[in-house]
Amino acid sequence: MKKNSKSSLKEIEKIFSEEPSVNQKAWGIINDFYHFILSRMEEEGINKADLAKRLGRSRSAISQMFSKNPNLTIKKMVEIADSIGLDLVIIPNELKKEIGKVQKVYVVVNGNPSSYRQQQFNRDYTTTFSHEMPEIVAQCSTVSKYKEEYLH
Amino acid sequence: MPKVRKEHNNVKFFEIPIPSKYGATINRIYHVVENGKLVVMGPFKNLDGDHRDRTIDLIRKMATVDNYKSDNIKYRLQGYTYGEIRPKPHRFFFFQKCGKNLIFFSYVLKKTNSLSDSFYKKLNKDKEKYEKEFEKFIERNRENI
Repeated sequence: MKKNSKSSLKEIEKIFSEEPSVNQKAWGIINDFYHFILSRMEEEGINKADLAKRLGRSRSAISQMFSKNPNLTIKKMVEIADSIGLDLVIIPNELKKEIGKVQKVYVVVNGNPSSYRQQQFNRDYTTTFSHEMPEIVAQCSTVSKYKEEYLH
Repeated sequence: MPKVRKEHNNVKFFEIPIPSKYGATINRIYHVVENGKLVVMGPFKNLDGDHRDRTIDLIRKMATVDNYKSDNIKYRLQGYTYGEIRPKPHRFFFFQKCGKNLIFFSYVLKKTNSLSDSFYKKLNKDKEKYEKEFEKFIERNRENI
């Protein structure tokens, strides 16, 4: 293999193996946001036209939000998440580390106490975590195991 | 003189390392190097900062999250078994899933938002060749993978 190909390979390896930069972390949050939104929409059978109706926006405005180069503000993210029953919550690193010890984490994702829902996510992608967890957990029989084992 | 198309006689596959911070790897990610040329990752390096960083994160998530959803990723193009990532409207990175491996095998930059069916058909032939080469690669490296 040519010398410059070898150095390009090393460069690629370095780009992917190094710790994420601030910019990559920021894009990671946006990517995760869309992953959760799209997953939720699929589960609930919500299409982009429905989402536009819920948000009182045009279909093209929604398409723009999901475009290749989204111009997303936190306000817009909250608005979208809220419309399909998701909360955006910042959690401290210590709690994230605790969560990291758990293979699977149950996360309460619905803000309506009468219909709390729980989902199982990969431990490293738990970006939604309610600060009301103890009370919510108390009301959810399926997450009581999680409470017993991990929430102290 | 008619152009002679080179055979894929010197195809290599290189695994993309994923930092442990992203969690356990579910899918191994490979990219093709053909006749010493980085078919996909060469042009990838030249993406501008934001698009590159977003795509790096997407690829890492594809490696560690099952069925990671994004409007930039199509896991299967209609009528074909391969998928694409489009970090920008005119830039297409193509990949094929082989078991628990994702192989990035082609890149194209076009001045249009969509590609012709003949392009996808031709790409499908390339994909089949790379798939065969990948099977051989897996066979050769069975003990290490």
